[in-house]
Amino acid sequence: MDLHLHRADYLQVGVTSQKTMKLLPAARHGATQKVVVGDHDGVVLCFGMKKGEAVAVFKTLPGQKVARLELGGLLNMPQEKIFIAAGSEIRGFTKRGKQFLSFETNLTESIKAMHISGSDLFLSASYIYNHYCDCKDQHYYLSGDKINDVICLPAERVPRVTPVLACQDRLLRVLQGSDVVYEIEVPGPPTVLALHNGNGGDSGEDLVFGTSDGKLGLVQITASKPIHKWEIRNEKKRGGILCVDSFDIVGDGVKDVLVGRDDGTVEVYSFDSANEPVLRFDQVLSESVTSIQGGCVGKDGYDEIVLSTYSGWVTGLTTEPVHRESGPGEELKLNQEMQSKISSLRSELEHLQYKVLQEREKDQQASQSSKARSAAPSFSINDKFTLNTDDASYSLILEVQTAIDNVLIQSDVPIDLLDVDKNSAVVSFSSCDSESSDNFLLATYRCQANTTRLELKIRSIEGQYGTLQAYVTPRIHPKTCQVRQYLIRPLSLHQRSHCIDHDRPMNTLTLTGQFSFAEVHSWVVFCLPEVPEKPPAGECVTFHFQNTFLDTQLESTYRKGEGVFKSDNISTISILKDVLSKEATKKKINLNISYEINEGSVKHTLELIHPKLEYQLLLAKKVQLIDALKELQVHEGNTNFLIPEYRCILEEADQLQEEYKKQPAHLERLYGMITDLFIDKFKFKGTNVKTKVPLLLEILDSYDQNALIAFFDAA
Amino acid sequence: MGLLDRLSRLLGLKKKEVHVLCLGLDNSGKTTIINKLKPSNAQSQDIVPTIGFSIEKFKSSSLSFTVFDMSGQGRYRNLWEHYYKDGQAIIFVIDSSDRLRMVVAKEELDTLLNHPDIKHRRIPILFFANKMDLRDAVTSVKVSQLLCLENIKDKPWHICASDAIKGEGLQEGVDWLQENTLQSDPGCEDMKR
Repeated sequence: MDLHLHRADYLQVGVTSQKTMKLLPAARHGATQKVVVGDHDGVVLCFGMKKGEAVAVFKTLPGQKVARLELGGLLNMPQEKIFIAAGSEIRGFTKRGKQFLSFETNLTESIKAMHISGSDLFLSASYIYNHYCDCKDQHYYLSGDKINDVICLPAERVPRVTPVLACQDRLLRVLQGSDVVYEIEVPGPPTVLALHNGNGGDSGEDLVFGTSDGKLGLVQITASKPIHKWEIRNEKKRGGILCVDSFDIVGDGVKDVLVGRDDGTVEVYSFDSANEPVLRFDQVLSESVTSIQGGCVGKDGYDEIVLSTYSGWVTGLTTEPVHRESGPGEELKLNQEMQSKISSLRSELEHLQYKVLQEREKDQQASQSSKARSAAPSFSINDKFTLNTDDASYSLILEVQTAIDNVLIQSDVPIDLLDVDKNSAVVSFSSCDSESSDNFLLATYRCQANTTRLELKIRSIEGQYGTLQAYVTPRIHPKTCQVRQYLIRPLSLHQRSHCIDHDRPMNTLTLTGQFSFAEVHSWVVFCLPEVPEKPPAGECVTFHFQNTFLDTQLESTYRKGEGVFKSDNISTISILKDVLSKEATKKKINLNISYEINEGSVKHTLELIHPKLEYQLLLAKKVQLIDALKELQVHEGNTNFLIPEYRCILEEADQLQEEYKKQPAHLERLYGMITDLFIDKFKFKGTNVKTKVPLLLEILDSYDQNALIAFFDAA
Repeated sequence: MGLLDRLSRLLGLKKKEVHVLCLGLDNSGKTTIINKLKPSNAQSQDIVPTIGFSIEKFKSSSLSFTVFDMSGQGRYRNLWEHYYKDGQAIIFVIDSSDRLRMVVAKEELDTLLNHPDIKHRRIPILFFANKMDLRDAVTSVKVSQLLCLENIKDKPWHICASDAIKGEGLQEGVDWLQENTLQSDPGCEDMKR
């Protein structure tokens, strides 16, 4: 049985953060529920639907931005109390809108995540976690990396209080009191945690997590160790997961997992007989989904998925059928509800147009005044700049609450902008002169009507570092523009990992000198992505990284006055050496740099490159033949006379050609890496071999692995 | 028609009576729909498969309906045509979650429409795409496509999605029926007889 859900838009509020919409529990089974939603203006709105119209129950005054909204109450009672986190304060409302709690936590930063269980309150700011009981401080923990979400296993089912923190460094930290009991490694930075089935599953210890690179998984948190149950890898759905809920929307008696992603995808996973999740339904909305919940809002008796989007639309995906009545020749006739909606919108629009026109005239006159200053309207941009592991490129996602007019991309490092299929924007590259100005890239994306979200793919080269700026102009009047800056780090293609293979031939770079721990940490932050800006606690710290393009590794260990960097790629070490000495010179610190080169590492790296290069060359060879083979196919009618090898090429022709389109860039990238490796290898020996590069390129053109290795050894 | 009858009708004291046939396959929800249209104190609690047929009455705002609630079971379906003459309107109920027997319903509908007693009379037909609360129910638009309702040219028809257990969609249907019975035969059926 497939699931058909119809979209019904309910109401629009202001811009919403992650997890700021909830459904209040129904008074009786099957009755319609009320929706509570908090927005960036600090307004908490509770409403119910009556005959297609949203009727507000209460609406608070504006205040600080609502970062989280949770429901709570006494244990084993209906969870009807509404708690919001705004700034560093927690406020509580009854379901009628009466404020009964205002708790100033005295945190220096604003609250990012919150969980409520009875009278226990679990809060986290950027790095700090706090546990309060009846507003009294109980436990405190300072995490090594940013905390994205916090949850506690259900107190009524699990005897111990077990909070779990989802941290940016791909770890779930399981706490007891103020200490970490153990850490769970997950594939990607976790962004959201939810109790499986809403109550923790059979054992009460099952936790669903979603990551910012779009993976979903279930772990059982036992007292001593985690048990991984299942995981959904993210093959083609890119968006990061922002919200998860459990609700039986399919109607088979087992709760399904509802997932909302930041590219607007809504998914329903149900469980088959083997308790494995199966995708049952997906629908794409045009903007990111910030909260999701199952329930019943629009019409009693019909279950639905209620979600809130970034720009504040509260939308339902309902099981209720849309077309109820029809008759002969009524295909074009709109139903009553639609007609009344259109007429009410029309009159509202007319009224607003008139008002805006008046105000605009006033504004025009006021702007003539010499003393008056015109203020720019502020708008929020939701941006994400992340590294894709599988194709070693960055994706930049910009989302604005209103439609985007255009986006200008300026970069002072050589980068490639790749096509994204989802984009409907028109791109134009302006020619830029990298000598007279610092621009290596100037591109403008003009968006089609009603695009609120723009996704760009950016390919960077290791070693070339600088900034990338995006000027975003939305369609509002007066037109204003906001600039966002993104760093392209020297080792931009490295990704944090938690373990590396120590058996590889390692090159070592050692730094010693008069620098503090915070200083060396700031250099590492400058060089590598995914490192927390705050210096970690302790005197010595080790981070592991993996190159997403070549799978070479980097281990960095540093303390006050000393830093050791180990990698199996000479180029990585060389880049680090250049950048670190430059940074040290800036701060006028004398650095002693010593390095140790492992002769075997060059061969090792070349062996890592070999299969990729060979694949690319083979691809080029195959594509060359496609046209000729196709002509033969047309003339002869069949391909039986061809040798199987060619028949195979013909079968895969489309796929090969598609891949070939991306191929020149890949081949160039590989050639660049080999050349860099070649130069770096000899640079460490103290010789300059730049003159020999043309010879190397010649060898690469007629690629033979042994010849290449021989050339590396000899020259 | 006596003077008193006419007077009372003019004053709206007595409602005009209409004979309606309620048809459809077995288990499509005919009896449940009729039952739900009756005033709440007259509704029965248990609905069992109808044997043969039964006669039920219910009132709308300006009409009083007498319904021949026919059994939809295969062996009783030949009973239907005996009552065609008396019908001034037809309610045809379809189980919209039963895709498999949709063709059977279409077949029965075609025989009904081609029956000499029905073919040349302009009687309104109301379709209920019933059981729309079920998850695998098809929409009323889809039902009208599956039954090729657009081919009915000489009779007014209307299709409503309904959930007979909760009573959703029934009122809209009956309102339409009332409007159209008044239009199509202002009392002429009685005169003929």
